[in-house]
Amino acid sequence: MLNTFKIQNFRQFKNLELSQLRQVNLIVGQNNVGKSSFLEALEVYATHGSPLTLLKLVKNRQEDWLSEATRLSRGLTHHVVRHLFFNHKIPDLAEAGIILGEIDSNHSLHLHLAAYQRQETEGMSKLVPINPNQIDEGIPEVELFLVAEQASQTRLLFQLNQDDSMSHTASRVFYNSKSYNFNLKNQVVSTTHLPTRQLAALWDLTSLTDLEADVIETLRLIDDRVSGVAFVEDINRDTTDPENRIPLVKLRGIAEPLPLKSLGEGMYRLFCITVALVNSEAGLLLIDEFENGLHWTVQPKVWQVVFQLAERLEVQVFATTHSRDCVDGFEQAWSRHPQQGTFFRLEGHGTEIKATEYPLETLSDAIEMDVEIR
Amino acid sequence: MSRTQGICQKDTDKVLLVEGNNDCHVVMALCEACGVPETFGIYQCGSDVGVLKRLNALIIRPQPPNVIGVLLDVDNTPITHKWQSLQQKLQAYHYQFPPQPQPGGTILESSQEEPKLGVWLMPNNQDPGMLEDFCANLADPNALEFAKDCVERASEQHLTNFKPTHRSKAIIHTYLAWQDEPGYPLGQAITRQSLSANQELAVSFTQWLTRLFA
Repeated sequence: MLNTFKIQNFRQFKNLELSQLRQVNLIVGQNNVGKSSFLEALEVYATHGSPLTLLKLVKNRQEDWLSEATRLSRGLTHHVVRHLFFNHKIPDLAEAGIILGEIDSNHSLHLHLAAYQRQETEGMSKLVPINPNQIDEGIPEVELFLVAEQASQTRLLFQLNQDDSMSHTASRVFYNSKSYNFNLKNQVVSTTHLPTRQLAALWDLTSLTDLEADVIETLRLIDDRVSGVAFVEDINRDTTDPENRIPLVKLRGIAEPLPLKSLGEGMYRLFCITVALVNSEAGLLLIDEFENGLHWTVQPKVWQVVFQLAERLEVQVFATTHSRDCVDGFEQAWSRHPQQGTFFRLEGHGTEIKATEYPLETLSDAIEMDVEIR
Repeated sequence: MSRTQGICQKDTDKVLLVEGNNDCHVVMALCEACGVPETFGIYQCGSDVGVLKRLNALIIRPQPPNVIGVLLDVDNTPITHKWQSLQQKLQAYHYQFPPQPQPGGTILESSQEEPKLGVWLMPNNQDPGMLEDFCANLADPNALEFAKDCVERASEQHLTNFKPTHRSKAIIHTYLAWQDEPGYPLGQAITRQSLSANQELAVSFTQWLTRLFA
């Protein structure tokens, strides 16, 4: 579990430090202040800077767009992942890049530019790192990479080719998921749920385990007739269609199983959150805009389940919200688990984004006295 | 959208938090009588606990007020109790509290970017009591003494049923019953000069307001 977290040079964050994190953490703040970016930073950290994650984050925000006009303005560090860096610029060789990790930890992840030279030894081509200071001295054929440095290991993520640095599809991706010494298992529930294919895969891991009962129990918060869930193939769709498996739900008293989505947005959202939660054991669960689709009356109960399951399964939950009702529900659950929650607001202070942490008592006071918190 | 709801619930950038409507009207009447500039709004929080909770929530709010004043009754406890409960509530912030409240009202600055904070403990930052004890200081001493005797005698003859903590309320309202017009509430009694805003304690209070919200 992360007890603290530090973000440097990532998205809006020049330098953000959170000195206290717990099992279940809720983040509020105005639009574009960095709530989603904060979750992204956690995802990058949890995947050790996986290039697939980096590219996914860029693509999610359509920052991978390309036009004929921009194609002409290519530069060496014009790679699309520049958008993940503060000010949309990959720092120069001598500068610090994105740094993510616990405060004062020697396991921080550092994504930065690095120079290498290809050397031929015994017929094998090998990349050797070069000190940035030596580059001016005329070393030929320097190759630039975006690298991930963590716990004295350095992994090459992308080669920033001079001839085609624009398009990530053309640049080489170096990625070996087996090379990690440690790994955090994590799930991400975006503002618009999980992709159906991923949801189906996670349900396959859940059904027939003890955790299945936890998920069904949680769905009963919205409709107490729910007795089971199964994914079936929709033969209207092509087998390659990622949406071709759809979740059905069995309701007590109704003979025919019904599509889960027919029971409303809230039911589907709750299913996504719970399935993701039970599949994040000993890892992270990141939920963007927790409240989406959930009626305010059900939110305190959902938070209660989140606190309970998170503790039992050792999942660390980070969620964002815009909703006062969501904060109210969170506060009710946090009051029952006072040692397990944190609540903070991200806000701009001049050019910097800062986090303001609320003790439980202060959050309770603000809700009771109807004072703005977001 | 304006969050202003009524004259005693002003959510302004400089705000005085008070326990109830009586406090609100007394402060407004004193300000008018003493010519205190109208630089702040008053917000009544329903109770002493309400004042502390709202204060706690306002300091950390997005775009918090610049200045917050709080008016709290000491009630029938040693003054250190109220002083400590205030400090306790604000322990996560960065205010340096003196060991005792200042007799002329306390004003605190934070070492961080937190609102300027003023504290007045009713009646006089030293003694136990409440708003009514403060107002008793503004009454004509002879008439008040007589009102006290009346309450005492009524009490001895078992004609009263107020709670012991409300003795000063009973006295001031007995006093007010004989003014022109009888039975005005405290705020209006100041405006009608049945209670004098020129008394030392009233002057000290309005000077504290002026310094705080200047």
